[in-house]
Amino acid sequence: MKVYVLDASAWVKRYKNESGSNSIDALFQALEQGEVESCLLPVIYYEMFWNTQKFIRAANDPTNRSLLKYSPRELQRVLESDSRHMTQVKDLLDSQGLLDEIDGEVLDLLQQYPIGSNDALILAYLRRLQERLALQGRQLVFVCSDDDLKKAVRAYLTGCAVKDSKIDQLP
Amino acid sequence: MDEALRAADRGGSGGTIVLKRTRQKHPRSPLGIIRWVIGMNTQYRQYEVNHLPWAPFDWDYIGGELRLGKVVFRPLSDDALQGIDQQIADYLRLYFSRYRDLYNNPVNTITVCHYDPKHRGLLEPMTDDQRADFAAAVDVLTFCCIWGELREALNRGWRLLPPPNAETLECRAHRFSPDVLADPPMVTLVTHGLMHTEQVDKIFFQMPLPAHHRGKIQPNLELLELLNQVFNDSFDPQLRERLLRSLRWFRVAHRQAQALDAEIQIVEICTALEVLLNLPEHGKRKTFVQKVEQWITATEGEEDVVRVEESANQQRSSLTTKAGLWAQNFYKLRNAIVHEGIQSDELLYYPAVDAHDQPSQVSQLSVASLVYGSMLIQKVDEATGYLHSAVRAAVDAPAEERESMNQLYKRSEWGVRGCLERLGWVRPFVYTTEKIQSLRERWTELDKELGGVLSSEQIIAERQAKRTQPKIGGSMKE
Repeated sequence: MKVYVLDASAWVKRYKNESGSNSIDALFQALEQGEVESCLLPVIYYEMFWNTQKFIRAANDPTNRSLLKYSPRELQRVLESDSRHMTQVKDLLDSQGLLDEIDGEVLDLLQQYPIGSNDALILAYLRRLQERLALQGRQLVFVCSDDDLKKAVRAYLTGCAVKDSKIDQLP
Repeated sequence: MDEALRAADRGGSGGTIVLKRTRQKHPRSPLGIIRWVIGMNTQYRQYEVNHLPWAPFDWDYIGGELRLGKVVFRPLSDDALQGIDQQIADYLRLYFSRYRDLYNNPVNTITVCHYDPKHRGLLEPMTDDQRADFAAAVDVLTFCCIWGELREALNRGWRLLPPPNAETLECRAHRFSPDVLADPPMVTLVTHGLMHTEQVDKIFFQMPLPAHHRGKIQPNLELLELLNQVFNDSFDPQLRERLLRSLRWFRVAHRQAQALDAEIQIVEICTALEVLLNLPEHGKRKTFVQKVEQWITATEGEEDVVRVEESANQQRSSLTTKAGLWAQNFYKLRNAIVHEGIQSDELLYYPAVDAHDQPSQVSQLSVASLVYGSMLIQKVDEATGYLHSAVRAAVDAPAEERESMNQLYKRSEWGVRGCLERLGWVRPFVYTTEKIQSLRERWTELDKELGGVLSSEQIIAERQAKRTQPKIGGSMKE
């Protein structure tokens, strides 16, 4: 069985009409019905949370008040509601001790490659998640619309399927 | 200096604040009588500077100042001291520089506050009535800061920083007369009713540990505006008196939030609820439960409220709301604390779920404070027919749209639906894909107007800015 991990660049299409939004909706519908599984990486959730807060703040700015016809804060609740369909990656990995020394791997990645700290955290988490899923005979699918990150994941994690909702059909 | 003070005494401002003695009526409180007698006997001019030393308000977010009723709150700055006699201003700078944080650095959190924005009397002593108004304004501000943060934390299901408490918003009054300004400047301290004088530059006012608050306080400005209505002349004076009295208890309940007074805090917050709800002499618990049930069904709808079986005795059982059951047990807990004491600290906590539906615990103080705040807001909202500021601005919108906007906005400012879901008192709202698709249309439209804040391109661009050249994929392959 496939286990999906959504990157923020793909997840955001759930809340903003972009190329690939329908594919993301299809994935969430499958999640709601328990047809597929998904894991949530904390760093990706923080990035999504930060982006939604930025949107809410901009919308609530007194200079933009005239644009509002409803409350933008609902976006935060929708984000939370969506995240409940996903399993916390920590719950899967912590008990196995798989998160030990993750900091060391992140620092190594930052030393070796010209990537950002969030990229490094994502790669480190994905590698451990992939190892854990492989033991259970399950395959990790990373859904991402960030071309550079897609390349990095493909290069660092051989065997990890990388899909882009703009091009690929989901789930 | 003397000339300036004499000019001030004559009522001439000459660019300085008028420093005339306020003609006071006979005070009612013992403290007031002492001040009155001292004032009569000594004929000294008294200055008074009220301040909140430890409250780290985010003034960039708030704006230059806060006004509640007739009380103005402003950050200590050169601007705040402008127009004051130079020697007094220098004395105040020295005095405030003695307020120290946990690292013994001068605090940058001092908020000066004074009564009546008309004369901006930073130095003017208050009458007893003014002092009562002033204390009420501090209570309201304390409530807004504490309750706003509590609501956000419960809504999110997690808390990044410890919450502010009544100590963080502690208000102090510094009274002094012109003779302390002399070299070296002195300060009179009152401890246990005894006064003694010290050189200002030899002492420090250390921040009490519970007052320490990491981060900045961003009070909910719309909530402040709503509660400001309580101070309007048109507001029912009896209701105002009751609400303000209950707010005083709310503040008291949030003192020493990190200390071992948790049991007593339950009694205090329960008193705040009793005063707010005007519970009758007899049958307090029953009425309290009824009021909580009425509140939750009215705000969240009958069908969404979770009901549980309540056993009255072994033969009979009936359905009650989960919130009502909490109210019943909470009041019993309060009685047990007052009369017998409780055996286990576990009773001071209530089960909830965190942001990821994992079991967690919330203090009974937090639950009761949430209920208290929501009911208080409901009362003020009902009494004033409050219109959200955005609705007031949307003058051209049709009446029907304004009404629905008003409800939506107010829910987003002080609604507690998310909190109640975490407590299990209402069913979680399920967002279906169809519902999200319809919301997405609105968000997309709004984002376009905002200039593209929320988009995959934006996320990718921000990431790119943190990456170093060459591009990461190519580099990794190499």
